[in-house]
This record gives sequence, structure tokens and C-alpha cells, in this order.
Amino acid sequence: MVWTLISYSEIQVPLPPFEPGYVVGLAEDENKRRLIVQVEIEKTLDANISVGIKGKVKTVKLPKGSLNVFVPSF
Amino acid sequence: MKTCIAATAHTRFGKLEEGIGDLMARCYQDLLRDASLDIGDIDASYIANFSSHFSSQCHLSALLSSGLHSRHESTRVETACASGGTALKQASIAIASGLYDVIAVVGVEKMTIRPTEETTSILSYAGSEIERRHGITFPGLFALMARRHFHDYGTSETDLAKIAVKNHKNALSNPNAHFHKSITDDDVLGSRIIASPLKLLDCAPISDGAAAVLLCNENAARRLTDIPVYMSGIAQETDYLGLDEREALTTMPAVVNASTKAFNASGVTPRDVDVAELHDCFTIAELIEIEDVGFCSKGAGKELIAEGATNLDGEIPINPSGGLKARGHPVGATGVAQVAEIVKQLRGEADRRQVTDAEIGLCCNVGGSGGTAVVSIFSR
Repeated sequence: MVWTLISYSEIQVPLPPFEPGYVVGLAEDENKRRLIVQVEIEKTLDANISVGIKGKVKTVKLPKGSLNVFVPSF
Repeated sequence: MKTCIAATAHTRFGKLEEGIGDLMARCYQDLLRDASLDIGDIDASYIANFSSHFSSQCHLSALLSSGLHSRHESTRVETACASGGTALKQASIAIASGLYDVIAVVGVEKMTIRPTEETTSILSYAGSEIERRHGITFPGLFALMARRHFHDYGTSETDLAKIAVKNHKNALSNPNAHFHKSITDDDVLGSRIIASPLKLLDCAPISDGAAAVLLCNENAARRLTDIPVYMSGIAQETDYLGLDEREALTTMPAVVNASTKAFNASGVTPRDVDVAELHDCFTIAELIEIEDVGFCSKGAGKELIAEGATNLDGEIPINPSGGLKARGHPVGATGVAQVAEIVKQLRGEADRRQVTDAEIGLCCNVGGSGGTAVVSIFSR
């Protein structure tokens, strides 16, 4: 499934327990299904991310629930 | 039977010493003084308040009775940042039903007693669990809307900066405003990132404060004031909680629908509005609401701002009080403070921030990232 990042933001004043500098976003698949995601980045790469980039979404298990992670196809 | 506003009260917004109970009671007493009434003349009260987490205090209705040393009916109302508008809507229904003649609506929030990190968490409770789990703050939600608006309509960070600059300028003439500080586009653009592309000066501050208005029917208004302000239309709309559940990020359907209903009820159009208080919790929120209320087409908000049409002397002055951005944003008080400002404007009592010949005013109060919207229209 190909996902498109339809918007994103780098959070510098985070919600605990996160540390500043993570990127959140909304991703949409080919069927127009939308998911709240975190965007996988190696470091602060805001300049390399843009609205409309394609990628895949993987699910990371957490102690409570799971995290949707958008992995850009750079 | 028409619903009228006969009196208003407004504490200073900012970092205040008083606790939530004292703040609420003082504002209420100011309202009674403004109307030359005693508590016994009030049939019922509605209290707008977002979260008991800030002050570790629930049951504000009984707290108000204690603060006023008087037993009377009051009810707390909550729809996040739209609590004030919703309390106003409930009060207007009670007046229109004929059950009550005179109702006080008081909005209050005491926020500055918590550290920013904790406040950020409390505010996030107005969003969805999945948003919180992914670390999306409230600035983050509006940042997602801003980024998409930039992409779809060519809006820029400078366009948003002009909104903050205008609202800070207006607040210079508002003695109750949180900020009395002039800022420039460069100040906004150079302020630190909170959630890109939104920066510190794109965001409303964390404030304490209270505001109150007195609603009554037309008969009571004749007794209580020489200058009644009429509520010609009010509408509330409730959307889905999460941004991922909406069809688009660049519009808030609750605002669009509440505006349409309020305009239909009042018999006026956006072109007839002389002054508006919009819910600028973030600069992008004011821009989206300018478009969603119908002051211009979608995407054209930036031109309206660039032309100065939303300035105090412009075609449609927006947020003469300074808005949430500079007047301050004690969440539960905000929707009530908007109405207090519009009443002052329509009565010609807004001093140096007075909009010339204001006859029709509009308030747009938004909860969460657009999950609730209350739009009210007033005339003199």
C-alpha cells in the first residue's frame, strides 16, 4: 500500500514523554483512508519532508496501543 | 421574544493572583454592578469552564454560590475552548423558552498555576486519544492545518504573522488584554518554533481570567439598560473529534455550518457584519475562520489580511479586542469575552478600539481543532 503525507509538523514543545524534534503528520492511502502518524526521520530533516511525499506506514507496538510510523520513500 | 445582552464584565486577562473561585465571583459581582442588580434578581447562571485539571476544582456551580454567599441555580458547561459560546447558547435557549427572564453567563479559567508541560497535556485532552498517543499537541494540530493551507492556497508564514501583528496592535487599546506589546512581522517570524510552521508568536498565550454577560428577554432589557444589544442568531455545530476523521484540513465544517445557521436565523449575510471576534487560538485559526464564516472565499483570506481589510479601520475589522492572541485565552472565559467585546462595540463603548458605526457584530468560538463551533450574531 502506498501512503501520501498530506501534512506534517515538527513538534518542538512536546507532549510528555516525547522529546522535542519529532515529526507528526497525517497520511492517506490510495483508498483515501487517513491515519495519524509519526514520520520516521534520522534527525531534524524538515527540509527533506514535504506535503505529498510517498511512503509506507508501519505499526510499532507500544505498552498501551500502537504507533503509526510513516516511512518516506526518499 | 428577543434575547438581549444587558450588561457585561471582564477581568484583566493574564497571570493573576486570585484562585478560580475568587476570579469567578469577582467577575460575577462586577456584572451585577454593571446591571445594578442583586444576585436575587438573577434566575439562573451558566458557568463556562474547560478543565478542572488546572485548579484541581470540580463543581464550579456550588463554588460560585460559596463565592457569592448566595444559594441559586447554576450549571457548568464544557465544550473545550467553545465552552463560553455553548454556555451562551444554553442561556439563550432558557430565555427563549420563557422559563427564565434574566440569566448570567460567566466564563472562567485559571491556567497559569501549572507548568507549561502540564498545561500542554491538559489542553491535549480536548483532542483524540490517537492524536495524544502520537504526541500531537494542540499547536501541532493547527500546524497540520496551516501546512496544508500553505500547500493548497499558497498561504505563507508572513501572511499568518500579519494576523498576530494586527491583534497585538488592537490589544494596546484594551486595558484588560494579557499583552500590551507591539510586535512586528519579523518578531513573529523570528520567534521560536512551537510546532512548525507555527512559532511562539503565532500562538495564544496561557492566561487566567473571567468574563461575564447578562442575558435577558426584551421586557427585562427595557428595565435594565438604555442600550440593549440583541442576539439575532446563535448556532452551535459539533464535528468529529479527530483531524483524521475530517474530509479536509483547511476548513472547519463546524464553523461553516454554525455560521450558515446563525446567518439564516439572523437574516443577515457576512457582508452585513461590521465587526467580528474570531477564535484565533493560533493565527491560522483566524485565517481559516475568515474564510469559513464567509467573509471571503476559501483561500482568499490572505488577500483580505494583506489589504488591511481586517484592521480596525478596514472593511471587516476582526478581533478589535486583540483576540485570543493578545487579549489572552483563559479557555472557559474566551467565548464570553468575545461577546462582551462585541456588546461594547455595538454600544459605542470601546474607546480607542471602537469600530466606527458598528451595528452588527459576530462572534465565532471554536472548541478543540474544530470539534465544536458556536457562531453568534448581535445587533443594536
